[in-house]
Amino acid sequence: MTDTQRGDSTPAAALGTNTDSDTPQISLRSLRKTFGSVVAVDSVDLDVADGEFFAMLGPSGSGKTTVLRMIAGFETPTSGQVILDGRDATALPPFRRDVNTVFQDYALFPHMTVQQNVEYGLRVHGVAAQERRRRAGEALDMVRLGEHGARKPTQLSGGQRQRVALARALVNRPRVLLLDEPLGALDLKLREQMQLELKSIQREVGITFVFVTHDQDEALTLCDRLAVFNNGRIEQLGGAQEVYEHPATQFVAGFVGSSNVISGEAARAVLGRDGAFAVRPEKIAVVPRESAAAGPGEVTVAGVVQDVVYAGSITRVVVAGPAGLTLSATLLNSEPTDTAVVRRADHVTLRWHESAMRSIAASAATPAPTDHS
Amino acid sequence: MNARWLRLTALLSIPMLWLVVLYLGSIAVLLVSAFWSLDGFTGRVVQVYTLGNLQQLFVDPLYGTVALRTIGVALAVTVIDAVIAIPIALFMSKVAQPVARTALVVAVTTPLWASYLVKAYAWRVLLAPNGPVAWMTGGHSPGYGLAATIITLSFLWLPYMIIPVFAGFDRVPDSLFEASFDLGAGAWRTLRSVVLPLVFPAVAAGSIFTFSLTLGDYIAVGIVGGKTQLMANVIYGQLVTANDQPMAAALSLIPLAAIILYLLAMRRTGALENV
Repeated sequence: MTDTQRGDSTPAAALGTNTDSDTPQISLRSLRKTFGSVVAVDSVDLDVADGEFFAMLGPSGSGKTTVLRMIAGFETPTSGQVILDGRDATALPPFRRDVNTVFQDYALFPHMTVQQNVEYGLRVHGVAAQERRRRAGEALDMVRLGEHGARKPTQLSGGQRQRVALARALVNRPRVLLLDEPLGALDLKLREQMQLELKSIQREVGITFVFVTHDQDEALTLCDRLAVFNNGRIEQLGGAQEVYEHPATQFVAGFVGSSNVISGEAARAVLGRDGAFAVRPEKIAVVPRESAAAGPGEVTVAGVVQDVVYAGSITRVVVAGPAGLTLSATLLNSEPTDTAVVRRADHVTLRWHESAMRSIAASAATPAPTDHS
Repeated sequence: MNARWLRLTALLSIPMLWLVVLYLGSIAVLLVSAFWSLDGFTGRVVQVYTLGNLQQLFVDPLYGTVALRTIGVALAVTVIDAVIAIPIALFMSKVAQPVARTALVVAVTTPLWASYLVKAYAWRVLLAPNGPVAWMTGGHSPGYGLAATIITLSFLWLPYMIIPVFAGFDRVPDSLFEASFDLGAGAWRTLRSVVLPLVFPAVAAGSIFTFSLTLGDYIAVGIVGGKTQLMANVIYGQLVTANDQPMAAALSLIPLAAIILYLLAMRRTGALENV
């Protein structure tokens, strides 16, 4: 899959790309990894530019973490190449790569203080004690833990340990920072706060960040570009908005955000054509049956409300249409009202614009979940 | 006293009786009898307080020599077992595939099923002046003596070191090793700065077994030690051959003091905090 061109043209990626170097910071070429008879990663080609914030998104077992571990050097590819900053690093051990990792479990050394943890990489590289202390202090200040240097990792909260892991990796000034589900162990509020912090730290240090996540919100929030993994392959590669608005396959449509997929008999009944089409719930308007009139380029479907789920800022409405089709629509609760807009068993019409609907390819692999959120 | 207390008392009374009366009680009797003496004429214990036995420990140079030799052997056995156990346990825990790992656990623990005497005699045969070791090394067998004692005891107590160190490695997540490599450390650096500090508590726990078991051994040294005397032989000799129970009790204060000092030293390293 060579969607790199398309991805690089998105504005977000262009901002993050270092103009003085056209060599990608990371290039993966036909990367493949098997464990026994299990194919974990299959023919992955990927270029990550200098200074880019890149996400690898996919369900567990999709191969994203194995790809990250091959970039770090913890796994050796079965075939293919890992090229770092233009040099073939496929056979290099982790300690010879200019890459540092923030581990999912943080992997802080429990027998060292926070300060010693952060200094470890510098000490290994023979940096003088004074310089070491200064740089470790700066790194801890950056993650707002300047006062905690003397503590042991066990005396810190989860969020603080996460930031120590970040400081310990960044203090070495690597060309690439790899993050393996970095926020997975944190609770929701802390996760949202850390997302903003990660983003601002990445802007500050300006190096390439590659992070692995199964959380599509997190991927869309943080990254310039992302690769969506499924069954060891990249299903789609592109900017956050591009992947969300133009899902290339049924899997991507279902995994990145949620989508209504209209295919087969339902597509013929509702749209009068063959194929598979995806439409996002927030693109669908729910209107009373009597005021429904299809404007130019609009699709309308008559149905009965099956379920109304109030979720604070939004309301989800599930509507049963013709030919066994079930569509879900998301309404923004922007009106200052206490009464429900739609009720169960209401006869309504769903309406959306043709341009909001994407023709999608069926995924090569197993059928994807159609609603994941 | 309510029913819950009653049940708890019933549950704990027998083990507590065992611990307090039989175990601590016998040690107390031992301590007290060290201050009694033996009537050399009748061979009966005279229950009169005296410091004579303790004085004898310091006056007779034999006891000091044997005590130092015994502690030296115990330390040597502990170091040898630690040096052998760390790589084996590391391999078992972090490198071996599940099948090989199970096979190794079985191989390490199986000797514990065999009789102590059988294993000691096996080493007697191996180390005999014209036995297999002499034959394989062209006559360079250590023969029976101090070296043979150290080899035999190291073999006997090795499982007691490997098992806690293996458990210790199992508690260290792989990601810590990976983090060390990731931060630029090679294998040796990782071993020195991450692996050894993290398994040190487990090695310390194992060393308490190897150290104290060696201090108390008098059978293996009798089988492969030639004329070598260790503390436990001397105590055994006083108790059984010389029939001088008070002197034997006084002598047994030496290994008791040694193991207490060893435990205190281990505690100072902080190794016993999380066992």
